[in-house]
Amino acid sequence: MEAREADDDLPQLGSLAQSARIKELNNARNMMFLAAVLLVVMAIIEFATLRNQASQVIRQNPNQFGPNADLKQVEDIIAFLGALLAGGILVLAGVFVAFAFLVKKFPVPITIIGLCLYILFNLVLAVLNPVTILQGWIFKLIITIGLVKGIQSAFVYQKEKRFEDLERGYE
Amino acid sequence: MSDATDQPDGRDAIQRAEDVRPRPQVAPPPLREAIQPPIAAKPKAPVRGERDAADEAIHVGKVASQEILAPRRVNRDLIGQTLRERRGFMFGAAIWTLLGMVLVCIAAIIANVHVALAAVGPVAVALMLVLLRRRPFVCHVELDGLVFDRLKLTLPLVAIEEVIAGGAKKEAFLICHADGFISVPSALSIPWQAFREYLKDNLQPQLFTPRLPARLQKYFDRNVALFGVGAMHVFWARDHLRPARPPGRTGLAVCMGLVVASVLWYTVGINQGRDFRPWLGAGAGVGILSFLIGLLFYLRAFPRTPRLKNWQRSALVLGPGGMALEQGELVGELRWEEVRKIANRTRGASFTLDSGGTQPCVRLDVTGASIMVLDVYHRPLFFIHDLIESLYCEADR
Repeated sequence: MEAREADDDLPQLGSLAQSARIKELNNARNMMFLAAVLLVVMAIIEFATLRNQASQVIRQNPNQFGPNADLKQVEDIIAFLGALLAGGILVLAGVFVAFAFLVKKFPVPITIIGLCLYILFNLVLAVLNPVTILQGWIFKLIITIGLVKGIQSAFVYQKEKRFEDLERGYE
Repeated sequence: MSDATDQPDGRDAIQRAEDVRPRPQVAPPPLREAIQPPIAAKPKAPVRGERDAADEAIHVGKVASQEILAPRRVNRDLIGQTLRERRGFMFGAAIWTLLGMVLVCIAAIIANVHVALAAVGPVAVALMLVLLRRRPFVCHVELDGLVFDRLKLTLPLVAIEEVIAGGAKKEAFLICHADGFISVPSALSIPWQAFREYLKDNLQPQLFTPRLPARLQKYFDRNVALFGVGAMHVFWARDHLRPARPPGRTGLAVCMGLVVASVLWYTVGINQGRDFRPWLGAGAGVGILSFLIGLLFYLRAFPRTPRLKNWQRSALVLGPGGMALEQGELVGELRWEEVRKIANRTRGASFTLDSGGTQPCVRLDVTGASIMVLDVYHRPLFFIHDLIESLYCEADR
Protein backbone atom coordinates (compact mmCIF):
# COMPACT_ATOMS: atom_id res chain seq x y z
CA MET A 1 0.00 0.00 0.00
CA GLU A 2 2.83 2.33 0.90
CA ALA A 3 4.45 1.68 -2.42
CA ARG A 4 1.17 2.48 -4.18
CA GLU A 5 0.92 5.75 -2.27
CA ALA A 6 4.50 6.52 -3.25
CA ASP A 7 3.46 5.80 -6.86
CA ASP A 8 0.66 8.33 -6.61
CA ASP A 9 3.11 10.95 -5.36
CA LEU A 10 5.12 10.65 -8.55
CA PRO A 11 4.61 13.39 -11.16
CA GLN A 12 2.02 12.62 -13.84
CA LEU A 13 3.15 11.91 -17.37
CA GLY A 14 1.45 14.18 -19.88
CA SER A 15 0.76 13.62 -23.55
CA LEU A 16 3.84 13.04 -25.68
CA ALA A 17 2.04 14.35 -28.76
CA GLN A 18 1.25 17.60 -26.94
CA SER A 19 4.88 17.79 -25.83
CA ALA A 20 5.94 17.46 -29.49
CA ARG A 21 3.46 20.17 -30.49
CA ILE A 22 4.86 22.47 -27.81
CA LYS A 23 8.27 21.82 -29.37
CA GLU A 24 6.87 22.91 -32.75
CA LEU A 25 5.47 26.03 -31.09
CA ASN A 26 8.91 26.65 -29.63
CA ASN A 27 10.25 26.48 -33.16
CA ALA A 28 7.65 29.04 -34.26
CA ARG A 29 8.70 31.22 -31.30
CA ASN A 30 12.33 30.96 -32.39
CA MET A 31 11.32 31.94 -35.93
CA MET A 32 9.61 35.04 -34.52
CA PHE A 33 12.76 35.94 -32.58
CA LEU A 34 14.79 35.40 -35.75
CA ALA A 35 12.42 37.63 -37.71
CA ALA A 36 12.71 40.30 -35.00
CA VAL A 37 16.52 40.17 -35.04
CA LEU A 38 16.60 40.44 -38.85
CA LEU A 39 14.19 43.38 -38.75
CA VAL A 40 16.31 45.16 -36.13
CA VAL A 41 19.42 44.65 -38.28
CA MET A 42 17.52 45.95 -41.30
CA ALA A 43 16.35 49.03 -39.36
CA ILE A 44 19.88 49.78 -38.11
CA ILE A 45 21.24 49.56 -41.66
CA GLU A 46 18.39 51.79 -42.84
CA PHE A 47 19.14 54.41 -40.15
CA ALA A 48 22.87 54.32 -40.83
CA THR A 49 22.51 54.82 -44.59
CA LEU A 50 19.58 57.28 -44.65
CA ARG A 51 21.53 60.31 -45.90
CA ASN A 52 23.46 58.30 -48.48
CA GLN A 53 20.28 56.74 -49.82
CA ALA A 54 18.55 60.12 -50.03
CA SER A 55 21.40 61.74 -51.92
CA GLN A 56 21.63 58.67 -54.19
CA VAL A 57 17.93 59.01 -55.03
CA ILE A 58 18.47 62.68 -55.93
CA ARG A 59 21.55 61.87 -58.01
CA GLN A 60 19.79 59.09 -59.90
CA ASN A 61 16.72 61.25 -60.67
CA PRO A 62 18.11 64.76 -61.31
CA ASN A 63 15.22 65.94 -63.52
CA GLN A 64 12.41 64.74 -61.28
CA PHE A 65 12.66 67.62 -58.80
CA GLY A 66 12.70 70.56 -61.21
CA PRO A 67 15.41 73.19 -61.75
CA ASN A 68 14.41 75.43 -58.81
CA ALA A 69 13.90 72.71 -56.20
CA ASP A 70 15.85 72.98 -52.98
CA LEU A 71 17.75 69.69 -53.16
CA LYS A 72 18.80 69.92 -49.52
CA GLN A 73 15.16 70.12 -48.50
CA VAL A 74 14.23 67.22 -50.80
CA GLU A 75 17.04 65.17 -49.26
CA ASP A 76 15.73 65.96 -45.79
CA ILE A 77 12.22 64.88 -46.76
CA ILE A 78 13.49 61.61 -48.26
CA ALA A 79 15.63 60.99 -45.17
CA PHE A 80 12.61 61.67 -42.95
CA LEU A 81 10.50 59.18 -44.90
CA GLY A 82 13.31 56.65 -44.65
CA ALA A 83 13.51 57.25 -40.90
CA LEU A 84 9.76 56.68 -40.65
CA LEU A 85 10.12 53.39 -42.52
CA ALA A 86 13.04 52.30 -40.30
CA GLY A 87 11.00 53.25 -37.21
CA GLY A 88 8.10 51.16 -38.54
CA ILE A 89 10.47 48.21 -39.00
CA LEU A 90 11.65 48.59 -35.40
CA VAL A 91 8.05 48.64 -34.15
CA LEU A 92 7.34 45.48 -36.18
CA ALA A 93 10.40 43.84 -34.62
CA GLY A 94 8.99 44.72 -31.19
CA VAL A 95 5.65 43.20 -32.18
CA PHE A 96 7.40 39.95 -33.20
CA VAL A 97 9.24 39.84 -29.86
CA ALA A 98 5.93 40.29 -28.03
CA PHE A 99 4.36 37.58 -30.21
CA ALA A 100 7.24 35.23 -29.42
CA PHE A 101 6.53 35.60 -25.71
CA LEU A 102 2.77 35.14 -26.17
CA VAL A 103 2.76 32.27 -28.68
CA LYS A 104 2.30 29.53 -26.10
CA LYS A 105 -0.56 31.39 -24.42
CA PHE A 106 -2.53 32.15 -27.58
CA PRO A 107 -0.99 29.77 -30.14
CA VAL A 108 -3.51 29.99 -32.98
CA PRO A 109 -4.10 33.76 -33.23
CA ILE A 110 -0.45 34.64 -32.61
CA THR A 111 0.98 32.27 -35.23
CA ILE A 112 -1.61 33.31 -37.83
CA ILE A 113 -1.17 37.05 -37.21
CA GLY A 114 2.62 36.60 -37.09
CA LEU A 115 2.70 34.89 -40.47
CA CYS A 116 0.28 37.40 -42.04
CA LEU A 117 2.31 40.35 -40.73
CA TYR A 118 5.55 38.85 -41.99
CA ILE A 119 4.18 38.16 -45.48
CA LEU A 120 2.50 41.58 -45.64
CA PHE A 121 5.69 43.35 -44.59
CA ASN A 122 7.69 41.56 -47.28
CA LEU A 123 5.06 42.39 -49.89
CA VAL A 124 5.19 46.10 -48.93
CA LEU A 125 8.98 46.04 -49.18
CA ALA A 126 8.74 44.30 -52.56
CA VAL A 127 6.37 47.00 -53.83
CA LEU A 128 8.72 49.75 -52.63
CA ASN A 129 11.81 48.03 -53.97
CA PRO A 130 11.42 44.77 -55.98
CA VAL A 131 15.07 43.84 -55.37
CA THR A 132 14.25 43.10 -51.70
CA ILE A 133 12.32 39.96 -52.72
CA LEU A 134 15.61 38.16 -53.29
CA GLN A 135 17.48 39.71 -50.36
CA GLY A 136 17.91 37.12 -47.60
CA TRP A 137 15.51 34.72 -49.30
CA ILE A 138 16.82 31.75 -47.31
CA PHE A 139 15.92 33.42 -44.02
CA LYS A 140 12.55 34.45 -45.39
CA LEU A 141 11.83 30.88 -46.49
CA ILE A 142 12.92 29.39 -43.15
CA ILE A 143 10.81 31.87 -41.17
CA THR A 144 7.75 31.33 -43.38
CA ILE A 145 8.01 27.52 -43.18
CA GLY A 146 8.55 27.69 -39.41
CA LEU A 147 5.47 29.86 -38.95
CA VAL A 148 3.30 27.70 -41.25
CA LYS A 149 4.31 24.58 -39.33
CA GLY A 150 3.62 26.49 -36.12
CA ILE A 151 0.05 27.21 -37.29
CA GLN A 152 -0.55 23.52 -38.02
CA SER A 153 0.67 22.54 -34.57
CA ALA A 154 -1.11 25.41 -32.86
CA PHE A 155 -4.53 24.33 -34.14
CA VAL A 156 -4.15 20.75 -32.88
CA TYR A 157 -2.44 21.85 -29.67
CA GLN A 158 -5.26 24.24 -28.77
CA LYS A 159 -7.93 21.67 -29.61
CA GLU A 160 -6.27 18.97 -27.50
CA LYS A 161 -5.70 21.41 -24.66
CA ARG A 162 -9.39 22.28 -24.64
CA PHE A 163 -10.23 18.56 -24.37
CA GLU A 164 -7.73 18.15 -21.53
CA ASP A 165 -9.22 21.12 -19.68
CA LEU A 166 -12.72 19.71 -20.16
CA GLU A 167 -11.59 16.32 -18.85
CA ARG A 168 -10.02 17.97 -15.84
CA GLY A 169 -13.24 19.89 -15.26
CA TYR A 170 -15.29 16.68 -15.23
CA GLU A 171 -12.87 15.03 -12.81
CA MET B 1 6.52 -3.17 -9.38
CA SER B 2 5.34 -1.38 -6.33
CA ASP B 3 2.51 -3.66 -5.33
CA ALA B 4 3.26 -7.34 -5.10
CA THR B 5 -0.31 -8.41 -5.80
CA ASP B 6 -0.36 -6.53 -9.08
CA GLN B 7 2.81 -8.09 -10.34
CA PRO B 8 3.18 -11.06 -12.67
CA ASP B 9 5.20 -14.06 -11.62
CA GLY B 10 8.77 -13.33 -10.59
CA ARG B 11 10.09 -15.53 -13.39
CA ASP B 12 8.67 -13.05 -15.85
CA ALA B 13 10.90 -10.41 -14.38
CA ILE B 14 13.87 -11.89 -16.15
CA GLN B 15 15.18 -10.39 -19.34
CA ARG B 16 16.23 -13.28 -21.52
CA ALA B 17 18.54 -13.48 -24.47
CA GLU B 18 17.27 -13.63 -27.99
CA ASP B 19 18.52 -13.50 -31.52
CA VAL B 20 15.67 -12.40 -33.63
CA ARG B 21 15.11 -9.22 -35.56
CA PRO B 22 12.54 -7.86 -35.99
CA ARG B 23 10.69 -9.38 -33.10
CA PRO B 24 7.84 -11.15 -34.79
CA GLN B 25 5.58 -11.03 -31.78
CA VAL B 26 5.34 -8.99 -28.67
CA ALA B 27 5.45 -12.14 -26.60
CA PRO B 28 8.94 -13.56 -25.95
CA PRO B 29 10.09 -16.20 -28.45
CA PRO B 30 10.84 -19.78 -27.33
CA LEU B 31 14.62 -19.19 -27.25
CA ARG B 32 14.12 -16.85 -24.37
CA GLU B 33 12.38 -19.57 -22.40
CA ALA B 34 15.27 -21.95 -23.03
CA ILE B 35 17.74 -19.97 -20.97
CA GLN B 36 15.41 -19.06 -18.19
CA PRO B 37 17.14 -19.76 -14.88
CA PRO B 38 15.64 -22.27 -12.45
CA ILE B 39 15.15 -19.77 -9.64
CA ALA B 40 14.88 -16.07 -10.16
CA ALA B 41 14.93 -13.50 -7.47
CA LYS B 42 12.07 -11.08 -7.77
CA PRO B 43 13.37 -7.54 -8.09
CA LYS B 44 12.47 -5.56 -5.05
CA ALA B 45 10.12 -2.65 -5.56
CA PRO B 46 12.13 0.53 -6.10
CA VAL B 47 11.76 2.77 -3.10
CA ARG B 48 11.18 6.48 -3.46
CA GLY B 49 14.83 7.32 -2.89
CA GLU B 50 15.92 5.08 -5.72
CA ARG B 51 13.39 6.63 -8.07
CA ASP B 52 14.59 10.07 -7.18
CA ALA B 53 18.11 8.90 -7.85
CA ALA B 54 16.99 7.61 -11.21
CA ASP B 55 15.33 10.91 -11.91
CA GLU B 56 18.62 12.63 -11.25
CA ALA B 57 20.14 10.40 -13.96
CA ILE B 58 21.89 8.28 -11.38
CA HIS B 59 21.41 4.75 -12.55
CA VAL B 60 19.96 2.32 -10.14
CA GLY B 61 22.42 -0.57 -10.00
CA LYS B 62 21.62 -3.72 -11.89
CA VAL B 63 20.15 -6.36 -9.66
CA ALA B 64 22.04 -9.01 -11.60
CA SER B 65 25.32 -7.61 -10.43
CA GLN B 66 24.13 -7.60 -6.83
CA GLU B 67 22.55 -11.03 -6.68
CA ILE B 68 24.62 -14.14 -6.82
CA LEU B 69 23.63 -16.11 -9.86
CA ALA B 70 25.53 -19.24 -10.71
CA PRO B 71 27.18 -18.94 -14.13
CA ARG B 72 25.72 -21.39 -16.62
CA ARG B 73 28.68 -21.84 -18.92
CA VAL B 74 28.27 -24.72 -21.36
CA ASN B 75 30.59 -23.80 -24.22
CA ARG B 76 34.30 -23.33 -23.71
CA ASP B 77 35.43 -23.70 -27.31
CA LEU B 78 36.71 -20.20 -27.83
CA ILE B 79 38.26 -19.47 -24.44
CA GLY B 80 41.81 -18.19 -24.89
CA GLN B 81 41.36 -17.36 -28.56
CA THR B 82 41.77 -13.96 -30.14
CA LEU B 83 39.24 -13.11 -32.80
CA ARG B 84 40.39 -10.64 -35.44
CA GLU B 85 38.55 -8.93 -38.21
CA ARG B 86 39.66 -10.03 -41.66
CA ARG B 87 39.96 -6.83 -43.60
CA GLY B 88 39.70 -6.58 -47.34
CA PHE B 89 42.34 -5.47 -49.82
CA MET B 90 42.90 -1.71 -49.87
CA PHE B 91 41.88 -1.03 -53.45
CA GLY B 92 41.89 2.73 -52.91
CA ALA B 93 45.47 2.84 -51.65
CA ALA B 94 46.57 0.45 -54.41
CA ILE B 95 45.05 2.61 -57.16
CA TRP B 96 46.64 5.79 -55.80
CA THR B 97 50.03 4.02 -55.46
CA LEU B 98 49.71 2.71 -59.01
CA LEU B 99 48.94 6.22 -60.27
CA GLY B 100 51.98 7.55 -58.43
CA MET B 101 54.19 4.81 -59.87
CA VAL B 102 52.93 5.47 -63.39
CA LEU B 103 53.78 9.16 -63.01
CA VAL B 104 57.25 8.28 -61.68
CA CYS B 105 57.85 5.97 -64.65
CA ILE B 106 56.71 8.65 -67.12
CA ALA B 107 58.99 11.15 -65.36
CA ALA B 108 61.92 8.75 -65.69
CA ILE B 109 61.19 8.03 -69.35
CA ILE B 110 60.82 11.64 -70.46
CA ALA B 111 63.31 12.91 -67.83
CA ASN B 112 60.91 15.50 -66.51
CA VAL B 113 61.17 16.52 -62.86
CA HIS B 114 57.75 18.22 -62.90
CA VAL B 115 55.96 14.92 -63.59
CA ALA B 116 57.97 13.36 -60.76
CA LEU B 117 56.81 16.17 -58.47
CA ALA B 118 53.21 15.55 -59.52
CA ALA B 119 53.63 11.89 -58.48
CA VAL B 120 54.07 13.03 -54.87
CA GLY B 121 50.31 13.75 -54.66
CA PRO B 122 48.97 10.21 -55.34
CA VAL B 123 51.73 8.60 -53.29
CA ALA B 124 50.96 10.85 -50.30
CA VAL B 125 47.25 10.06 -50.60
CA ALA B 126 47.99 6.30 -50.69
CA LEU B 127 50.19 6.66 -47.62
CA MET B 128 47.48 8.53 -45.73
CA LEU B 129 44.87 5.93 -46.71
CA VAL B 130 47.08 3.25 -45.14
CA LEU B 131 47.90 5.30 -42.04
CA LEU B 132 44.32 6.38 -41.36
CA ARG B 133 42.77 2.97 -41.88
CA ARG B 134 40.32 2.03 -39.16
CA ARG B 135 41.78 -0.29 -36.57
CA PRO B 136 40.41 -3.82 -36.95
CA PHE B 137 38.00 -5.45 -34.56
CA VAL B 138 39.99 -7.58 -32.12
CA CYS B 139 38.38 -9.54 -29.33
CA HIS B 140 40.17 -11.70 -26.77
CA VAL B 141 37.92 -14.40 -25.41
CA GLU B 142 38.78 -14.94 -21.78
CA LEU B 143 37.37 -17.27 -19.17
CA ASP B 144 34.91 -14.79 -17.74
CA GLY B 145 34.53 -12.21 -20.42
CA LEU B 146 35.55 -10.54 -23.64
CA VAL B 147 38.26 -7.94 -24.08
CA PHE B 148 37.83 -5.56 -27.00
CA ASP B 149 41.08 -3.90 -28.06
CA ARG B 150 39.74 -1.10 -30.24
CA LEU B 151 37.08 -0.09 -27.75
CA LYS B 152 39.37 -0.59 -24.75
CA LEU B 153 36.51 -2.42 -23.11
CA THR B 154 36.35 -5.52 -20.97
CA LEU B 155 32.91 -7.05 -20.99
CA PRO B 156 32.19 -9.79 -18.44
CA LEU B 157 30.07 -12.63 -19.81
CA VAL B 158 27.51 -12.04 -17.07
CA ALA B 159 27.02 -8.50 -18.36
CA ILE B 160 25.96 -9.63 -21.85
CA GLU B 161 22.21 -9.32 -22.02
CA GLU B 162 21.46 -10.51 -25.52
CA VAL B 163 22.88 -11.08 -28.98
CA ILE B 164 20.91 -9.59 -31.84
CA ALA B 165 21.30 -9.64 -35.60
CA GLY B 166 23.22 -6.74 -37.12
CA GLY B 167 21.61 -3.93 -39.00
CA ALA B 168 24.29 -3.26 -41.62
CA LYS B 169 25.69 -5.47 -44.38
CA LYS B 170 29.11 -5.95 -42.80
CA GLU B 171 27.69 -6.26 -39.28
CA ALA B 172 27.17 -9.89 -38.30
CA PHE B 173 25.54 -9.31 -34.95
CA LEU B 174 25.50 -7.01 -31.96
CA ILE B 175 26.51 -7.89 -28.44
CA CYS B 176 24.11 -6.01 -26.18
CA HIS B 177 24.79 -5.11 -22.58
CA ALA B 178 23.23 -2.73 -20.10
CA ASP B 179 25.40 0.22 -21.17
CA GLY B 180 25.12 -0.18 -24.93
CA PHE B 181 26.05 -2.59 -27.70
CA ILE B 182 29.13 -3.74 -29.61
CA SER B 183 29.06 -4.42 -33.32
CA VAL B 184 30.76 -7.63 -34.49
CA PRO B 185 31.86 -7.68 -38.15
CA SER B 186 30.94 -10.64 -40.33
CA ALA B 187 34.51 -11.14 -41.61
CA LEU B 188 36.24 -12.65 -38.58
CA SER B 189 39.22 -14.98 -38.26
CA ILE B 190 36.69 -17.70 -37.34
CA PRO B 191 33.14 -18.03 -38.70
CA TRP B 192 31.06 -15.40 -36.95
CA GLN B 193 28.35 -18.00 -36.40
CA ALA B 194 30.71 -19.88 -34.08
CA PHE B 195 31.34 -16.75 -32.04
CA ARG B 196 27.62 -16.06 -31.83
CA GLU B 197 26.93 -19.64 -30.74
CA TYR B 198 29.60 -19.34 -28.06
CA LEU B 199 28.02 -16.17 -26.74
CA LYS B 200 24.51 -17.59 -26.88
CA ASP B 201 25.61 -20.70 -25.00
CA ASN B 202 27.23 -18.60 -22.33
CA LEU B 203 24.52 -16.03 -21.85
CA GLN B 204 23.74 -15.61 -18.21
CA PRO B 205 20.26 -14.94 -16.88
CA GLN B 206 19.69 -11.25 -16.39
CA LEU B 207 17.43 -9.73 -13.83
CA PHE B 208 15.40 -6.99 -15.39
CA THR B 209 15.92 -3.69 -13.65
CA PRO B 210 14.99 -0.82 -15.93
CA ARG B 211 16.83 2.43 -15.44
CA LEU B 212 13.92 4.76 -15.61
CA PRO B 213 13.20 8.27 -14.44
CA ALA B 214 10.42 8.42 -11.84
CA ARG B 215 7.76 9.60 -14.27
CA LEU B 216 8.37 6.80 -16.72
CA GLN B 217 8.63 4.29 -13.88
CA LYS B 218 5.02 5.01 -13.00
CA TYR B 219 3.95 4.41 -16.62
CA PHE B 220 6.02 1.24 -16.71
CA ASP B 221 4.49 -0.08 -13.46
CA ARG B 222 0.99 0.64 -14.70
CA ASN B 223 1.60 -1.17 -17.98
CA VAL B 224 3.34 -4.10 -16.32
CA ALA B 225 0.22 -4.58 -14.21
CA LEU B 226 -1.87 -4.59 -17.40
CA PHE B 227 0.28 -6.57 -19.84
CA GLY B 228 3.03 -8.22 -17.78
CA VAL B 229 6.79 -7.59 -17.77
CA GLY B 230 7.38 -9.78 -20.83
CA ALA B 231 5.37 -7.44 -23.02
CA MET B 232 7.17 -4.29 -21.94
CA HIS B 233 10.43 -3.03 -23.47
CA VAL B 234 12.61 -0.44 -21.80
CA PHE B 235 15.49 1.52 -23.30
CA TRP B 236 17.76 3.93 -21.53
CA ALA B 237 20.66 6.13 -22.63
CA ARG B 238 23.84 4.22 -23.43
CA ASP B 239 27.17 5.20 -21.93
CA HIS B 240 28.99 6.22 -25.08
CA LEU B 241 27.52 7.43 -28.32
CA ARG B 242 28.81 6.19 -31.64
CA PRO B 243 29.39 8.76 -34.35
CA ALA B 244 26.03 9.97 -35.58
CA ARG B 245 27.31 9.92 -39.15
CA PRO B 246 29.53 7.54 -41.09
CA PRO B 247 33.18 8.33 -40.36
CA GLY B 248 34.26 9.41 -43.86
CA ARG B 249 37.85 8.38 -43.24
CA THR B 250 38.62 7.90 -46.92
CA GLY B 251 37.76 11.48 -47.78
CA LEU B 252 39.76 12.72 -44.82
CA ALA B 253 42.78 10.62 -45.85
CA VAL B 254 42.66 11.89 -49.45
CA CYS B 255 42.52 15.51 -48.26
CA MET B 256 45.34 15.00 -45.76
CA GLY B 257 47.50 13.38 -48.44
CA LEU B 258 46.89 16.31 -50.77
CA VAL B 259 47.70 18.80 -47.98
CA VAL B 260 51.02 17.00 -47.33
CA ALA B 261 51.82 16.99 -51.06
CA SER B 262 50.86 20.64 -51.40
CA VAL B 263 53.30 21.63 -48.64
CA LEU B 264 56.08 20.00 -50.64
CA TRP B 265 54.93 21.64 -53.88
CA TYR B 266 54.74 25.04 -52.19
CA THR B 267 58.25 24.65 -50.72
CA VAL B 268 59.66 23.62 -54.10
CA GLY B 269 57.87 26.56 -55.75
CA ILE B 270 59.45 29.03 -53.33
CA ASN B 271 62.97 27.65 -53.23
CA GLN B 272 63.67 26.33 -56.74
CA GLY B 273 63.92 29.17 -59.23
CA ARG B 274 61.54 30.50 -61.85
CA ASP B 275 60.96 27.13 -63.60
CA PHE B 276 59.27 25.78 -60.50
CA ARG B 277 57.21 28.93 -59.78
CA PRO B 278 53.89 27.28 -61.00
CA TRP B 279 54.26 24.77 -58.14
CA LEU B 280 53.88 27.67 -55.71
CA GLY B 281 50.37 28.41 -56.98
CA ALA B 282 49.47 24.74 -57.31
CA GLY B 283 50.69 24.06 -53.75
CA ALA B 284 48.78 26.99 -52.28
CA GLY B 285 45.56 26.26 -54.22
CA VAL B 286 45.46 22.51 -53.65
CA GLY B 287 46.58 22.95 -50.02
CA ILE B 288 43.87 25.46 -49.07
CA LEU B 289 41.11 23.60 -50.92
CA SER B 290 42.13 20.22 -49.48
CA PHE B 291 42.39 21.69 -46.00
CA LEU B 292 38.88 23.14 -46.16
CA ILE B 293 37.30 19.99 -47.60
CA GLY B 294 39.30 17.88 -45.14
CA LEU B 295 37.95 20.00 -42.30
CA LEU B 296 34.41 19.19 -43.43
CA PHE B 297 35.25 15.47 -43.54
CA TYR B 298 36.82 15.73 -40.09
CA LEU B 299 33.71 17.40 -38.67
CA ARG B 300 31.58 14.67 -40.23
CA ALA B 301 33.84 11.97 -38.84
CA PHE B 302 33.98 13.50 -35.36
CA PRO B 303 31.77 11.60 -32.92
CA ARG B 304 28.96 14.03 -32.25
CA THR B 305 26.80 13.91 -29.18
CA PRO B 306 23.22 14.86 -29.97
CA ARG B 307 22.23 18.47 -29.41
CA LEU B 308 19.95 17.37 -26.64
CA LYS B 309 19.82 18.61 -23.09
CA ASN B 310 20.56 15.85 -20.57
CA TRP B 311 20.66 13.11 -23.19
CA GLN B 312 22.05 10.84 -20.51
CA ARG B 313 18.66 10.96 -18.80
CA SER B 314 16.75 9.81 -21.86
CA ALA B 315 14.53 6.77 -21.50
CA LEU B 316 11.94 5.03 -23.62
CA VAL B 317 9.25 2.54 -22.62
CA LEU B 318 7.41 0.55 -25.29
CA GLY B 319 4.43 -1.65 -24.69
CA PRO B 320 1.30 -3.00 -26.38
CA GLY B 321 -0.69 0.04 -25.27
CA GLY B 322 1.72 2.70 -26.45
CA MET B 323 4.98 4.29 -25.49
CA ALA B 324 6.41 6.73 -22.98
CA LEU B 325 9.43 8.88 -23.65
CA GLU B 326 11.68 11.26 -21.79
CA GLN B 327 14.19 12.80 -24.20
CA GLY B 328 15.20 16.40 -23.71
CA GLU B 329 12.10 18.58 -24.00
CA LEU B 330 9.98 15.66 -25.13
CA VAL B 331 8.29 14.05 -22.15
CA GLY B 332 5.03 12.15 -22.11
CA GLU B 333 3.09 9.07 -23.08
CA LEU B 334 1.58 8.22 -26.42
CA ARG B 335 -1.09 5.73 -27.47
CA TRP B 336 -0.49 3.83 -30.70
CA GLU B 337 -3.83 5.14 -32.03
CA GLU B 338 -2.33 8.63 -32.06
CA VAL B 339 0.51 7.63 -34.41
CA ARG B 340 -0.10 8.26 -38.09
CA LYS B 341 3.21 7.20 -39.62
CA ILE B 342 6.49 5.62 -38.51
CA ALA B 343 9.77 6.09 -40.37
CA ASN B 344 13.32 4.99 -39.68
CA ARG B 345 15.58 7.85 -40.76
CA THR B 346 18.98 6.20 -40.63
CA ARG B 347 20.79 9.14 -42.21
CA GLY B 348 18.88 12.09 -40.85
CA ALA B 349 17.76 15.02 -42.94
CA SER B 350 20.39 17.43 -44.26
CA PHE B 351 18.41 20.38 -42.93
CA THR B 352 15.41 20.74 -40.64
CA LEU B 353 14.05 23.55 -38.49
CA ASP B 354 14.51 21.27 -35.50
CA SER B 355 18.13 20.22 -34.88
CA GLY B 356 16.94 16.74 -33.86
CA GLY B 357 15.80 16.06 -37.40
CA THR B 358 19.32 16.20 -38.79
CA GLN B 359 20.32 13.17 -36.73
CA PRO B 360 19.41 9.55 -37.35
CA CYS B 361 16.11 8.89 -35.64
CA VAL B 362 12.87 6.96 -35.61
CA ARG B 363 10.27 9.49 -36.61
CA LEU B 364 6.71 9.11 -35.41
CA ASP B 365 4.22 11.46 -37.01
CA VAL B 366 1.23 12.50 -34.95
CA THR B 367 -1.34 15.14 -35.89
CA GLY B 368 0.39 18.51 -35.92
CA ALA B 369 3.87 17.34 -34.90
CA SER B 370 6.62 14.74 -35.23
CA ILE B 371 8.28 12.83 -32.43
CA MET B 372 11.92 11.92 -33.06
CA VAL B 373 13.36 9.02 -31.09
CA LEU B 374 17.09 9.72 -31.33
CA ASP B 375 19.97 7.25 -31.45
CA VAL B 376 20.99 7.58 -27.81
CA TYR B 377 19.62 4.36 -26.33
CA HIS B 378 21.31 1.19 -25.17
CA ARG B 379 19.92 -0.71 -28.15
CA PRO B 380 20.45 0.21 -31.82
CA LEU B 381 17.95 2.43 -33.57
CA PHE B 382 16.91 -0.20 -36.14
CA PHE B 383 16.03 -2.52 -33.28
CA ILE B 384 13.87 0.15 -31.62
CA HIS B 385 12.25 0.98 -34.97
CA ASP B 386 11.37 -2.67 -35.67
CA LEU B 387 9.94 -3.02 -32.20
CA ILE B 388 7.86 0.14 -32.47
CA GLU B 389 6.56 -0.94 -35.85
CA SER B 390 5.63 -4.44 -34.67
CA LEU B 391 3.86 -3.06 -31.59
CA TYR B 392 2.08 -0.47 -33.72
CA CYS B 393 0.93 -3.11 -36.22
CA GLU B 394 -0.16 -5.36 -33.38
CA ALA B 395 -2.23 -2.56 -31.87
CA ASP B 396 -3.64 -1.68 -35.30
CA ARG B 397 -4.92 -5.23 -35.72
